[in-house]
Amino acid sequence: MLQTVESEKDIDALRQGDSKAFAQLVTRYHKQMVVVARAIAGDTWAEEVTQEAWISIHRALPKFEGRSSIKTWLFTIVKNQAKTRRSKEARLVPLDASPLGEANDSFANNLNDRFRQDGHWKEAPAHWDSESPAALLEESQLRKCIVHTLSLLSADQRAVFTLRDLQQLTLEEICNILELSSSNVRVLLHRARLRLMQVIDHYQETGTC
Amino acid sequence: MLKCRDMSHHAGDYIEKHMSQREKISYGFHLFLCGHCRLFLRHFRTSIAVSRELARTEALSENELNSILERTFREGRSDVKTD
Repeated sequence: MLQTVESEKDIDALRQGDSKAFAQLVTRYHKQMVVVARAIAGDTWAEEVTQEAWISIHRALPKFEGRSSIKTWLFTIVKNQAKTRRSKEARLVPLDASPLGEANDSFANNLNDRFRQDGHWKEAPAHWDSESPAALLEESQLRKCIVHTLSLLSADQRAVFTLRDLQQLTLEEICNILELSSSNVRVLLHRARLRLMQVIDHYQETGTC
Repeated sequence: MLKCRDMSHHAGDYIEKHMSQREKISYGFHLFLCGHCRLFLRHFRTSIAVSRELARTEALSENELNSILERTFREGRSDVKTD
């Protein structure tokens, strides 16, 4: 559902108001757009903002000129909608405000604990039973652990992670959408990835979250 | 030469190709010599692939979709924007 880049044919259908094509677009991008809205406007407004973005998108589609990819365009619209809402509500969502920022720092520290003073591994990283994503996800408990972990990432981390690792937008596009510096995006992304890796690693070692 | 700790900190930059030629060679040289770091990097990449696979298999429910579509279509195409 996520991996496709819409073809010209799909985009033409969208421009012409094909409701089936529009439904596919919503199915494909809605959840990720909510994540972006949450990072900008906060949890309370994320769903509402994304709904408003879909209304704007639906209205604007006949005039979509394709100067950017459609997914960059969608994320830009939800960003603008979220910023408008944030201004209306006159409240700022601080960067990486979640207490999980601390948990992620603690993971970075845990990772550092795995090295000797001279910077080399104390012990080899544990081998995983499987390195196939599909096979790993067949473990329903691990799947739940990952979903839970993603839900606990800070809004910024989750948005950066979603845009880069799930939607495969470029770092530059992500900086523009979230209005973050390149170094900030890279740090947020690295922390989110390490956090997720820790969950799988721990599960492989202990069989628990 | 890079230490294993540096390797873990720069894993993201390596897979994003966000490194100078010199850093890339240095990173690659360490990987060539160090099995532990090769394993770490493989797990790092697998974690990303797992989340991608998870997102691919998690669909919007039919109820959620219908509710979004109903409101969107109800509001109609009353004005127009360009990209």
